[in-house]
Amino acid sequence: MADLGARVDALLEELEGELADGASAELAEARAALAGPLRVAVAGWMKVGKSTLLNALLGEPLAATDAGECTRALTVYRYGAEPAVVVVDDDGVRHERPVARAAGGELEIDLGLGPERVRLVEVSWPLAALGGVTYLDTPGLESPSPGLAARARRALLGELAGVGVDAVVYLLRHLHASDLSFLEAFAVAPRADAGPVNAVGVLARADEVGGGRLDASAAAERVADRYRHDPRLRRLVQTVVPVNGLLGVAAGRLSADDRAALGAVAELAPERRAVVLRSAELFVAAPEPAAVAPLHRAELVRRLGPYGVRLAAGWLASGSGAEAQVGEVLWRASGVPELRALLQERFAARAGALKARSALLAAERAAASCEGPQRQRLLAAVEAVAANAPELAELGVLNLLRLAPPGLPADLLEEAEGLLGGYGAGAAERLGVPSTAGPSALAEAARAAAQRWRGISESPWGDLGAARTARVVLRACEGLVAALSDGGGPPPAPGPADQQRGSPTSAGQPDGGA
Amino acid sequence: MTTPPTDLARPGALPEVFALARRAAGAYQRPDLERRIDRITAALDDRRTLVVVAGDYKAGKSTLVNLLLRMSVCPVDDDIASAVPLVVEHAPSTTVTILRRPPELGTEDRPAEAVREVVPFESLAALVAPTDGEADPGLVGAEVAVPSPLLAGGLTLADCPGDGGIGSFGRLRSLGQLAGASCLVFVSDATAELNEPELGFLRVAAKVCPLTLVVLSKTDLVPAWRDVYERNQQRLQEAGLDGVEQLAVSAHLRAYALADGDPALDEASGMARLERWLGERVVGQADLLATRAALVSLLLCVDQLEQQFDTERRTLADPAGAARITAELEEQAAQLRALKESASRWQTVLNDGATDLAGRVDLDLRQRLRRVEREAEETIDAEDPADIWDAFEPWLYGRVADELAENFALLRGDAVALARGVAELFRADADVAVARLATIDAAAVLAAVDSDASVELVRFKLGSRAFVALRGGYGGVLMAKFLTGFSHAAEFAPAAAVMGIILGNKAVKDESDRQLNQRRAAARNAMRRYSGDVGLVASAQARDHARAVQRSLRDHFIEQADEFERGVRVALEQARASASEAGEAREQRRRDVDSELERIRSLARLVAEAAVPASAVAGGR
Repeated sequence: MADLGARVDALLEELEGELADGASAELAEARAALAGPLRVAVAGWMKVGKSTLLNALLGEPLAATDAGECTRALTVYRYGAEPAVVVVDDDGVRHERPVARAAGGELEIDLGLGPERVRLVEVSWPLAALGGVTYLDTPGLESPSPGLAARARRALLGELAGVGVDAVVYLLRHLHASDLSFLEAFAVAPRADAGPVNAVGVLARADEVGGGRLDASAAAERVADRYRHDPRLRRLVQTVVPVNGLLGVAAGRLSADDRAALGAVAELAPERRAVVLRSAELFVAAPEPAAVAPLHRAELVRRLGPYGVRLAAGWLASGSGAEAQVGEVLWRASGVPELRALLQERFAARAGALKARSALLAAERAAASCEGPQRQRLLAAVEAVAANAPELAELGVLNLLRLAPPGLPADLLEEAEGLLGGYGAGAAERLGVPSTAGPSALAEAARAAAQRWRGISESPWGDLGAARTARVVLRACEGLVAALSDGGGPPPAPGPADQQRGSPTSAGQPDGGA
Repeated sequence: MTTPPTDLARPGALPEVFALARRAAGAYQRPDLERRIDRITAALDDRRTLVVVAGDYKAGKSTLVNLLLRMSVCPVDDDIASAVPLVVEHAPSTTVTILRRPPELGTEDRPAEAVREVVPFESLAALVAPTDGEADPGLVGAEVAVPSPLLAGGLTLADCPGDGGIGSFGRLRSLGQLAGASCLVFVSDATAELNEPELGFLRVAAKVCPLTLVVLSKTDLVPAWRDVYERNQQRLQEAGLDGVEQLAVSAHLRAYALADGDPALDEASGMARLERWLGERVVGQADLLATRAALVSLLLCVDQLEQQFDTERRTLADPAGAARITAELEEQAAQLRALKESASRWQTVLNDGATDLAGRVDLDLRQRLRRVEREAEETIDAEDPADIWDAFEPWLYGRVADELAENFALLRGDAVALARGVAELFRADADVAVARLATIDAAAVLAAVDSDASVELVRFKLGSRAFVALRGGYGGVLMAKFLTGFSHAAEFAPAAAVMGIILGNKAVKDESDRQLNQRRAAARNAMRRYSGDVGLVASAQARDHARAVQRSLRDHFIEQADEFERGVRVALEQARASASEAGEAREQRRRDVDSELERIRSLARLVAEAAVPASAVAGGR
């Protein structure tokens, strides 16, 4: 993987030397990003809960989430040894701003200029969660007319392209047609850095799907599962997970007082508990539990939501564990750990390829901005690098499997997606065998897969797309075989055989493997 | 307009008055008036007040309707949403009727009716909210009749699907149904404040429907719902919708309240307040208007009886003048006959007015559609249709639906104005013949005429002729229109989706200009075709409607003239008969007539008293 990164970096350096200052600045940023952490953007309609989810992912409530407040400018959260807030204006001038936090911990950012003049806000914070990932919080979109919506999306895409994004988390509420068109616009926009391969859907405010009942998470899971199998959504995102951002934020910030208060609620007789928890407002107004002041109850229900309080009290009352563990229970129920793991599996493991892809897109844009023979030459140089990167071919085919599936049976499509790392980058996940399988079993599975896909790639009956797909999958299988016979461990995606092939063919039409 | 319902709404009082008047008409040999009173009574008993429940996808509309009814009628699911409108009305026993799109749209004169099919209640959920997400495309709606005290007063609830969001098809259907509704209940859940598409819908709805209520639902889920309520108030005000009220409810809490029999909790849920609001502001108000119109019609009937005896009394009191009175009456009868002729003033005005009406509405419609086309073209020229098509399509439907709704509102307003103008002329021309007519509140007469003229409009029967042709506004036909599909969109997506995905695919880029132009041309064609089709259908409907208004006004006034004429004839006969009486017989007859007159006058007083509070309240529509 280092090979591809190094080659892309060399390409960017070469381009930087050739191009005018304006373009080279973007390339310099792209180079920096190539070496930096994975960049994940959080996008969705207004009020869908982007900032809340972000806070849950960060493990720190930095983004303002007041019901009326909303994210007005693109905000980047990256790791920094010292907390710092910088506002970057239209002209790229950086303005340092004081770090001020509200009572709840949210940053109070004084933009100092109109939101339309702000290019982005950079927040640096010493957080473990920012170690390998930089998050981008995007302004919510809301627009009644398609022209305006397209312009708003383009502006956002432009901003994202300017900053660079490797992966996107789309927040959906219980699905609207407008959610779909929003996602599709991202996916088909000519400059989108996003395809299904680096996009994940999040069913936000999952507790509200089931009306905050105790079985709300089951209802949300049912909805998410339907979305996963919705052919329209399959074209847009890898998967859909239900997340309750509110719980994710609150879970890690329960004080001893909070836990004791939840314990007091749990001690009520079950039917009394159900009665006081009938609504957020009744919970605050109820005479019980007397040990918890109404103000504290209001605070709890605001932070956890009625569902969170019901869940915590119910769990405590069931005697499954001690008060000290209630935060952990809420954290698990929030769905945020799954989302984090997903980002880790699907994106972080592919970070090299995803970042190289983003950097190549930047290089291509820079090359395309030139004129005449220089344009031709530079584009050819970009393409030469792209064409020699089987990781990118894999990404491309993974996308195509979702967008325009070749004529293969469904089970083979699924297997292809797995072998290309669609369900995780490890050998076992790719091969679809239990993670307990020994090295020999893995190697055996890999050889069987290689044989199967060689057959498909050489079959005279398949259509052109199927044959192309099969060739890319075959190469991935051969990489697995080689890595596993070398002694196990995750396979280096580019097989040694691929390095020899230097013909500048399109990345989308890879030749067969050795 | 916060008048509580008056005694008019008191059961018992009104039926007695009507029964008395009907007996009087029978006793005085006026079968025509008997029939008329029967019709007035039937119309009053059978009146319906339609409340449309609309709102965004998953806002909690069906749950709200169920808990208003205190029974589970609309299918509710965490995930699956209702796919078609569900109309709930009162009946002694439960019946579910589903309506399917007719095999063809029918002709201008004979619009096709929806195919009705009675199904068991248990199969309703599977039909209306199918679990596989794909509704039967032929299904256009369902009617559920249930025994519900809430609906017993004529209240009819239409639960409209919010599928695809309020910016899309759902809006088209909802607006179509709004055209004859008394009230829109717009449901928006408390997890977020009203957004721009929702406000846009409310703005158009306000032009079509006389009364709108925003219901903030699911307050039990949201600790800070009061903040959302406040911001909604502010957003409504900013949108120029200051008249729109807002009520916060939690259907969920009412469910508990009903289970526990806890009236305090029911009050806290806001649902009890919503129920009262509907009773007072919607049903109460509609009752007042309907009752007033009915009483005014009744007063006219009683008036004719009175006049009949009044004439006879004059003859008896002044035998010498009998010849003069008879001549007067004959002249009046001739005048009334002339009034029925097609060359009469009011008929000319009516015919011309109806033609003008159709023309004006048609022109307005064309201008509106042209405006939408221009906007659409600007968008298509500025963007790549492949990028925006998915947003563009619902936007186009929404814009067209908005314009149609406003056009329909114009049609309704103009039709009522025409009815008023014609009534004024008729009254002026009939004035000579029917003296008392002039003393009756003109506005009240018009209310009666208006309610007769628009009776076809106001009766809500999904799938009946009225629904398809008039009452559903343009909704019914457009629904069929979009169900048959606007499938051109499919041409764009796959080609576009692959574009730009494969890195550095030059072939796509070099071709892109030509392809872009092709896409724009295709998009423009698709858009114009849609607009053109809508224009044709809608303008045919506008003509139909104008004709229906014309017909119903003409029938109404001719019948009125018939009645007057008959009244004059009866009076004439009695006058002639009494003129031949002499001496004691004449005195006896005079005493009889006096006492008859006394009876009729007390009846008229009764009716007038009943009508006074009503006409004092309602300022006309």
